[in-house]
Amino acid sequence: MFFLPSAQAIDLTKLHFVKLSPESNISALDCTEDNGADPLGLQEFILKEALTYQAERIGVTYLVLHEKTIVVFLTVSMNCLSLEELQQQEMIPEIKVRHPALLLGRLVVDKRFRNLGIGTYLCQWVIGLARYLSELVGSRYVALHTLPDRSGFYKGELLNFTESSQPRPDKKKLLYRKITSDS
Amino acid sequence: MLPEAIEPLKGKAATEFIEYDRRQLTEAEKDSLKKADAVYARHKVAP
Repeated sequence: MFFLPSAQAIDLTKLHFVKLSPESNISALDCTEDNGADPLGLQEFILKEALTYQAERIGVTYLVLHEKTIVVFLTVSMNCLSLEELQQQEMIPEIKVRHPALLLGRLVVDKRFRNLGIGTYLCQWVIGLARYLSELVGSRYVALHTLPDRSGFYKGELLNFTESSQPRPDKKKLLYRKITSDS
Repeated sequence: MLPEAIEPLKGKAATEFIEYDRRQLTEAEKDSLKKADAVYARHKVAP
């Protein structure tokens, strides 16, 4: 069996992925904070907006199940990073266009399944998805926006995201992770 | 492998690009990419 270091209760290799559909039963999914608040509107999004995003091709949402319980939802879409958003060392000689990226728009673990290593595992899945897709459609990064106090999770050695120094109009930080390899 | 219709980079341009890309990856990043590939391969999705 395959476990990440912090995982205790769930065999991550047995997670099951399904695309959100009108038939998906998401009523039991709880994306709120420990105190029941929904400051980022994540519960609102999955219950009321995700299907519209998907129908309009703004974002595709996947539900991740453990046995028959939905433990995570995540939403991905195409995106790009401007050269100003990237560190100087990311610049490619002679290429001055924006760099394509897969946007991890949302990744939310049900509150009953947090701190089990699922979020890290699913970020790795998204990076793997981006690498797979980049063989079909040009893409060089995985990008995401998150609150400053949560950026450390993505910047750690397991995920290796870099924080952009480019200021944003909201309170969130832009993080990106290059997905190319030379092998 | 590139499709035949696409001309691959040659000469100095190709060398600069390859050297640049290789310089950017640390061992930890390479290992992380391998793990990501393995995780996605385990849970592939289809449209």
